[in-house]
Formats: sequence, C-alpha cells, structure tokens
Amino acid sequence: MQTKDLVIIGGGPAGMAAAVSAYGKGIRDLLIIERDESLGGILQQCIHNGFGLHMFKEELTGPEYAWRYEKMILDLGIPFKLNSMVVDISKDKVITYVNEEEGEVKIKAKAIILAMGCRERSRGALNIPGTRPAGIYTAGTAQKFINMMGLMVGRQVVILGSGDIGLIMARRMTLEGASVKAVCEIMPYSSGLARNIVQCLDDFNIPLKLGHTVTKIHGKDRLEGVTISKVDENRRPIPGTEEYTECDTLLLSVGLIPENELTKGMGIELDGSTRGAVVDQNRETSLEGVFSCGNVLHVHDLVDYVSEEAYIAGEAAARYIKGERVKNNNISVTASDNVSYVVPQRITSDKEKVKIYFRTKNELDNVQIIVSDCENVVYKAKRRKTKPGEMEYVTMAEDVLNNIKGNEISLKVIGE
Amino acid sequence: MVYDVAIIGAGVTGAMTARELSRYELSVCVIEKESDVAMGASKANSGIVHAGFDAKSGTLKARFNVEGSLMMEKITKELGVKYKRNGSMVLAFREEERDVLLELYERGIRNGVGGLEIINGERIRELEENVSDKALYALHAKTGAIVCPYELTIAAMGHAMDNGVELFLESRVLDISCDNGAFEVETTKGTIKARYIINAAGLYADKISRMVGDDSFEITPRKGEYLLLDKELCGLVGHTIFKVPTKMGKGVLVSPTVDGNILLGPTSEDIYDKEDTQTTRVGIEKIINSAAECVKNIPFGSVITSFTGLRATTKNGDFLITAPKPNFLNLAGIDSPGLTAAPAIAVHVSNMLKDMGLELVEKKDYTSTRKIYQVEKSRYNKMVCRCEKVSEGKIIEAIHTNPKAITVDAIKRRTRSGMGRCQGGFCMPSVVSILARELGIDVCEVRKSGGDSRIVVGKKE
Amino acid sequence: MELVCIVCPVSCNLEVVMEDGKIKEIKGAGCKRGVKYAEEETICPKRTLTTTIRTTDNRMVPVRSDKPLPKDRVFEVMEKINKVKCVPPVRIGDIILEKVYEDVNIIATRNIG
Ligand SMILES: Cc1cc2nc3c(=O)[nH]c(=O)nc-3n(C[C@H](O)[C@H](O)[C@H](O)COP(=O)(O)OP(=O)(O)OC[C@H]3O[C@@H](n4cnc5c(N)ncnc54)[C@H](O)[C@@H]3O)c2cc1C
Ligand SMILES: Cc1cc2nc3c(=O)[nH]c(=O)nc-3n(C[C@H](O)[C@H](O)[C@H](O)COP(=O)(O)OP(=O)(O)OC[C@H]3O[C@@H](n4cnc5c(N)ncnc54)[C@H](O)[C@@H]3O)c2cc1C
Ligand code: SF4
Repeated sequence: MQTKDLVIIGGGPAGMAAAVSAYGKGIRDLLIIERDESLGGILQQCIHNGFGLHMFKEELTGPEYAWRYEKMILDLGIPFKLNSMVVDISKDKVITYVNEEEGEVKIKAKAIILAMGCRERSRGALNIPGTRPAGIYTAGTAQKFINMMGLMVGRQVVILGSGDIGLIMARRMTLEGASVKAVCEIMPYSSGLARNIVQCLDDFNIPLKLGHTVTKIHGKDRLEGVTISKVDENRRPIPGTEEYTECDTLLLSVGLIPENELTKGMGIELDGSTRGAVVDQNRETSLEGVFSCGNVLHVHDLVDYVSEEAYIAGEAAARYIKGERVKNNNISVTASDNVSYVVPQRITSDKEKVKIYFRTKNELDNVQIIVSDCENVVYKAKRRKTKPGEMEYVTMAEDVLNNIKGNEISLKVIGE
Repeated sequence: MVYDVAIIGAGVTGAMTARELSRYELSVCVIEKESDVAMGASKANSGIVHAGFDAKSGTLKARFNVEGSLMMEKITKELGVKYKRNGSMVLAFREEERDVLLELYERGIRNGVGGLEIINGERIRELEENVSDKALYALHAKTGAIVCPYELTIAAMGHAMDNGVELFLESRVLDISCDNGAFEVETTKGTIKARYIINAAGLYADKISRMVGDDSFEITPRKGEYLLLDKELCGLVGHTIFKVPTKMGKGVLVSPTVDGNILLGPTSEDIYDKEDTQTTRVGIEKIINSAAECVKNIPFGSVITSFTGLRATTKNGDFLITAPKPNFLNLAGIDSPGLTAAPAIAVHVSNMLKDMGLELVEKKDYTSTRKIYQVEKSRYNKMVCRCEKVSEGKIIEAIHTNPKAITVDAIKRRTRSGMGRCQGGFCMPSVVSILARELGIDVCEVRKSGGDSRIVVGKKE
Repeated sequence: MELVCIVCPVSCNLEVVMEDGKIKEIKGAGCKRGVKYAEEETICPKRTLTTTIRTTDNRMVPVRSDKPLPKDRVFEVMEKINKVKCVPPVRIGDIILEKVYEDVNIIATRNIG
C-alpha cells in the first residue's frame, strides 16, 4: 500500500491553506484529494466579491480567492488529485478513494487533515407541507446551475432563509432577469451580513420579510406558488396570516451542515452543536493525528477565517508528523449562557495563546464575554454587538491559560 | 396489432402481473398514465412484507398476504432487489390491549402465519432497546420483512420487459370500448387494442371499471403521510414497530428501511381528492407524537424528507378481484397488504385468465434474470451522488435498463442518487446533464417527474 | 440619512448629516473607508458587478467589473455582457469587455483553459 506523511481530504480553501502551511513547516510527502474537477471548493461557484478582506486586504471574488491558493499549490508543487472521491477512512488512517483512471486506491497516512466542507440543509429538514413539484432548490444548487452551467432555474422566485447564500442568490437571479418576490426569514433578524442585505436586497427593492416562513408548497409538476405566513415568537405560523405568492421557484437558504460522514466513519467524537469534530486548539480531533478545519469543522461565514483555521491545522499536523506536537494539558471548553458553540472544545497545551471562536444564540448589544473556570472569572472582553450570523472570538494568552484551575472553562455572554 | 393482454396501471400489482404473464407466449402491454412505473401507492407505502395476522381470516387479503409473504424472499432474489427479514412487533401499552394481541395471534395462526409469539416488556427491551418503557407486551412476528416498494415494482416491470412486455408511459386511459371481441383502449397517446384487459389502476380502478359499464364499486383514497429519517439513525430500531391496530388501520409504525433509513408513519385519513398527496402540518405532528409513544429518543431534527401515499380503499375492505365483463379483470381495492400480496395476486390472475380461455404456453426463451445495460467500467468510479455514493455508471445504467428512467425522479428511485441527506442538492446538476446527454435532449427539456416539471427554465445568453 | 457600510463585513451603521444639500458630517464609521463609502453613496452609489460570460465552447467564465459602476447602470451593463461570448483560453484578469461604461472594464476572475 502507498504511504504518505500527510493526506488532505478536500481541496477547498481549507484544504489548500492547510497544505500550504504544512509544506511551509517542512512536510513534503503530502497529497490533496479533491472530488471535483478543480481545486477551490465551493468558492468556484461563489462568483461574487467579498472574499479576502482580512487575508489579502483586498476584495476578491470566490474564484479569485481560490486562485491565490491554487497558485501557491502549483508554485510549490504540492501534489493533488482531482475527480477523486474519498469514500472511506479507517481508524488506522487508511484512506480509500475512487476515480475513473485508477479505480479504487488505498493510501496509508501518518496524519490526515479533514477539509470536506459542508452541505446545505434541504427541504426535507424543514418539513414544509404541500406537494413536491420541480422548482425547489437549495440556494447553492441554484448557484451551481447559474454560475457554473449557465442555466436559469426559474423566473419568479421566493427565497426562504436570509443567510448570505440566499441574499447573494437574490441579487444573482435579479441580475439575470428573474423577479425575486421576497426573502422570508423565520427569525426576527437576518443571519446574513448587513452589507449583503443592502447590496443584494435593498439595491433591487426586494422585500425582506422577517418573522415569516413558507408554510405550504403549491403546484403539481412545476412549482406554482407558496403560502407565506407570519410566525409567533416560538417560530410557529400564526393562523390567519397566510398569504399566497405566485412563483415558479423556491430557493432554500436555511443553513449549512458540516459534511462529516467520513469523520463519523472513523469513530471521531462529534460536537452536537457544531456538527463537526470536537477538536483542541491544534484542530486535532479525538483520533490522534487526524485534524479538521474549515466548514467541515464548523460553518464559517468568512473564508478568511477558514484559511486562518487551516493554517493552524496544517502547522499542527506538520508538528505531529515530526513528533514535535506537545500535549501537556487537558482543559475542556464549554459554551454557556447565550453561546451556541465554541471551537476549540479542548485546550491541550498552555505553551501558546489560544483563540476561542464562538457564536451567540441571539443578537445582543453591549456585550460582555466572560470566561470562567470552576472558581473564578479568568478572562473578560467586550463587544458592541454580536449576531448569531457572525462568528466572534476571544484570545486567551499563555498566562491566562496557566492560571486556570480545574480542567474546565466555560464561555458565556451577557448583553442586552 | 392486437395485444393478448393489456394491463392498465404500472404499480406493483400491474408490474407483478405483467412479469407473471411474461413467462408465456403472449403479447402483453402495460399502460401507465405517469412518466414512470410505481408512481401511485406503490412508491409511497411502508414497504412492509406483512406476516399476515392482520387480515380477517377467509378474506382475499388474508389469503394473498400469506401466500405473497411466502413468495417474496425468492422473488426479490430473482429480481436482485433488497429484502430483509427483520421481524415485526405489535406493542400493547395497556393490560386490556393484551387481548387484542391474543386475537391477532390466533388470527395469524388461523391464516397460516408461522413464527408468532407474544412477549413481555423485558423481552421487548432485550430485542429493541429504544422501544418505549411503557410497552407491556408485544406480538412478535419473526416472518415480518421489509422491501423497497418501488425498487421491487421497477425490477418486476423491468424483468417483464426483458421478456417482451411493452410499457406505454404517459398514456392515460380515457375510455374503453369493445369491438369484435377485442377491446379498444383509448389513451392520451393513441388507441391500443387487446383481447384481455386487467384493471390495476389503483385509485382509479373504479373509473376504469366504469368504462366497461361496471359501477358496482367506488374507491376512496385514504391518505398516509410519512417522515423519513437520516441514515445516521440506522439501528434506532431493528424490527418494524406497530401499536395495536384501530379501525383506521395499523397506525403509525417505526421501521428501518432496506436502505438503512428510519421510516415513521403512516397517518390514516379518508379524503376525497385522489391527487392530494400533499403532506400536512397536522399529519406531520401526528406522526411525531405517535412515533414518540412507541420509540424513545427519536431525533426529529434528522428528518430528511416527508411524503404521502394514498390507499385505494373500498367499502367492504377486502381486495376486489372480479370479472364484471368477459375477458376484463378488476384488481381493485388493493390497499394494504397489497405490496405483500402482489406476487400471489399475479399468479391468481394468470389462473383466472386461463379459466377465461387464454392459452398459456411457456416461453422457451424466457430469461429468469434481468438484463442490465452494460456501462464502461471506469464510469462506476466516477461519483455523482456523494450522500448515497452513486456513480455515473449506475445512472447511465438506469437510463438504459428496462424500465428506462427518463426523469430525474426516476433516476432517484433506481439509483438513490438524490435520496440521501442532501436530497439532490449536490448531485442534481450532474444528473440533469447526464440525462440530457444520454437521452439526446437539451438540458432545458430534462424533467423532474411528469408533465411540465422542467428543472431549468432557460439558458443564460 | 442612515446607511450601512458595505465595504467590509463589520457593516458599520453610518449616519450622514446633510446641510444645504451638502454632507456636513459622517458618523459611525469604523474606519476611513466607511467615510469614503458614505460620501460616494450619498452622491453617486456605486457597485462592483459580478456575473458570468459564456465561452464559444459553452463553458462559463466568471467575470467582474474592474471598478465599481454607478448602481443605476448595472442592468445596462448586464445587457452588454449578455450579448457577447468569449473565446477560450481565458486567464484570470484578462479584459473580456473594454469600457462597458466610461473607463470600467469587465475582467475574467478565473482561468478557463
Ligand atoms: C454559497 C456560499 C457563499 C459564500 N459567500 C462568502 C462570502 O461572500 N465571503 C466569504 O468570505 N465567505 C463566503 N462563504 C464562505 C466560504 O466560502 C466557505 O466558508 C469556504 O469555502 C469553506 O471552505 P472549505 O474548504 O471548508 O469548504 P469547501 O469550499 O466546501 O471545500 C471542501 C472541498 O472538499 C471536497 N470534498 C468533500 N468531500 C470530499 C471527499 N469525500 N473526497 C474528496 N473531496 C471531498 C469538496 O469537493 C470541496 O472542494 C460562502 C460560502 C458559500 C457556501
Ligand atoms: C400509506 C400506505 C401504506 C402501505 N403500506 C403497505 C405495507 O407496508 N405493506 C403492504 O404490503 N402494502 C402496503 N400498502 C399497500 C400497497 O402499497 C398497495 O396495495 C400497492 O402499492 C397497490 O399497488 P397497485 O399497483 O394496485 O396500485 P398503484 O401503485 O396505485 O398503481 C396504480 C397505477 O395505475 C395508474 N393509473 C391510474 N389510472 C390510470 C389511467 N386512467 N390510465 C393509465 N394508468 C392509470 C396509476 O398512475 C398507478 O401507477 C400501503 C399503502 C399505502 C397507501
Ligand atoms: S466603516 Fe470601515 S470598519 Fe466599518 S464597515 Fe465600513 S469598512 Fe468596515
């Protein structure tokens, strides 16, 4: 069987950045395996601008951002395999992939970085009653049809969910001549970035219906319309508020779910909130030498953070391979009041400062972030505002880590 | 030409009958109004091969259920479709319900069902750790099994076609007239002549029978809604779990499917509209509440899809197998356990036809296995659907193997591409391209299902 | 006038105080780019346009305007873009359509071999 020091599963921004950083730390015997026909992952279909402001201090489109890394991969000569899908990874790190030329191939790796990205939540997950005609797509599928294949999925559109992909697609469909009737959001706030609401909806006078959801699908063969209802504070539709809207297309932008089938197959511990692996500050999972980064670990709103996280994983994997990775600690990090999740969930070394990423459950103003151990508050920070749609982080310096009592810290948020 | 036999309806009843008749030197055609086979009750049901203790002794249901159940394992093997003898349990939650179990037990024995036992709570939990602690007793039927109903129907029809049966899709029967001893069946796609007619039109069997002047029965749709859970819950239960039945049927069950998902449902509601396959909020809630009574810890957040099936029920509640006119057979009121019964009904039909004077001579060149279209090997290594790991090869195979898939949904039912947790989000664009290429049509002509269900409406300039 | 800055994901809430048809003060900006954005948005709002162009061999090239366009010219430019096809190969940064509006060009954002 072939062997490799490092195999990276997925050639999206996470996989590419992880490869570049591991290479930078001296790893030469590595391979990226990507099932698509090019590197770049989901970025290749995100043709809009808005990527790279943190990483490159420039506003790039998705494919341009992807190209920055693709070029590094090519220049460094990092090997990658395209059109190759990893179908299984065993506990002892044997990777099985298939492609047209080679059939089924197995590789044994010293370390693995999981960077498989995420998938979109589908209609079924929402249980919208009604018929099942053609014309209902996830926003990302519609994006692929339009941007990659040049095919229009519809002319009169309702979008359910105001996540960024939904907002971006509202503009995209409008630019290509479709009429977007409304964007419905069940929550009282949008999970998308404010800038996207301005430039994707307001610019084109597309109404954003907060506190509304689609309660029925109409049409036998092709979608003919949807019923939109207001919801109460418990997100239950309010009877009597139903309104019929004619449309031939319903796009769903109702959330992304990390793609962790392979991870599960290896028996790696998963976090019920992120739906990704439980990791330490190195992004190392519960299985030694297996790392996870990018959207497969938790859904990021900005690709810049994906790259940043991938650098951490790539470097740590290199250290692991060279036998330099230190574990001298085991503190678990948990999400407490108002916090939906934290990453990493464990800190296994006090030698370096650690950034803890988290999301809040609600929109809050004048926010206090409090990290405490079993006895005391160990860290405090402030934010003007936090939103569930925007990831936050706090940096815990070495001295803070050194002073933690017990083996658990929890992060909570207080705000108005 | 004049066909010897025309079968109206390509559900499991029609398909199994066609397959049975394809053994003989006969010209047989199947006329179906939809764009694929198994588009009626045969695509949306529980997929249970019932042991046979439910039906009242002496009824056709009891007879064909038990016979069909015994035939099913062999047939599924011949057709190469999945079959799993997982066993079933009917749960009793109150002492007095124990009598109902006893009644079912005795009825089962009378109907000729083997492998029945009544077990107590402790034994229940031994077999199924997630069954509710409140379940006191259960009727355990070891011969209960599961199949995928549309896979079975597709395979049966495919096998029939491999042996010469013709299938006319998107041909709705509009009227039937009788002329010189042959029937003329008028369809939306032209007239088809046949000497014998078998009416297996499911919900519309009453309408078809009326076309030859028989208005002795009426079919009422009884709606059954379902929720399907992600494969990650595989193992939640191993057996098919029922509650003691009520007048409206067997109630909501919790069952594994042969593909490893968990199925919850069906509801049971008499409705008027035979096309009303909408899922409803009330229905979904009923399923959730009912399922939660039987099985603990069901993560309802893992629902990946919901769907509805309509049972074709008649007043008297039994299958209605009659010949209202010479050479015209009704297979009507085939509601549950119609899936289980189908192979037995098919044999019965061929005997009836023989009694009516149709000569049955065995074909010499009958092939006992299905003919699968050969695709280049490397295509099987090109993955199209990541959730269900379906290759391009499998999809091409489905497009060219009988009964040929011509829509995205038809591919989905044959290959499971798009049936996984992302429900086609990832693979649909590729499937659309492959369909267009293999069928030699424009991508804009590719449909999800029947009618004008186009997936894309136009091209960017 | 209230605005949301769209320059970066921080999305600052900006307030533009006007006096006699002129900008008097801009409040709320987290950085200078926000001030510039508010000025421009008040006088002539501009947007970067991103879309696709079909190649002569039926593939899609993602493209964008190399500078922001006046918002109300966007559909006009889309029409121009949708009329052309481009001939591969295309390199990232290649000008596909020159001067679609004043000095704004449409450039490719991906290599298409
Ligand atoms: C529609 C959309 C719009 C967005 N808009 C913005 C934006 O405006 N600004 C911004 O900063 N960020 C945006 N993002 C976020 C950003 O693009 C993502 O966070 C980032 O692409 C995630 O990178 P990744 O590498 O983790 O995942 P992906 O990009 O999804 O890459 C994962 C890769 O792994 C491959 N893969 C998966 N499984 C296997 C397997 N079994 N075998 C082989 N290969 C496999 C996939 O094919 C894919 O190429 C957007 C995201 C989406 C989905
Ligand atoms: C909710 C539910 C749960 C069930 N669970 C089980 C179970 O677990 N086990 C079991 O054994 N059975 C079960 N059944 C019963 C089983 O599904 C049915 O008995 C069986 O599928 C009936 O098959 P069929 O071919 O008779 O009817 P159908 O599958 O409905 O086929 C009839 C066909 O006729 C066609 N047709 C109608 N009118 C015309 C026309 N004018 N021209 C041309 N074509 C026409 C229709 O399009 C359709 O394809 C269940 C049924 C339901 C609804
Ligand atoms: S003002 Fe500056 S910091 Fe605030 S959103 Fe605009 S660019 Fe970002």
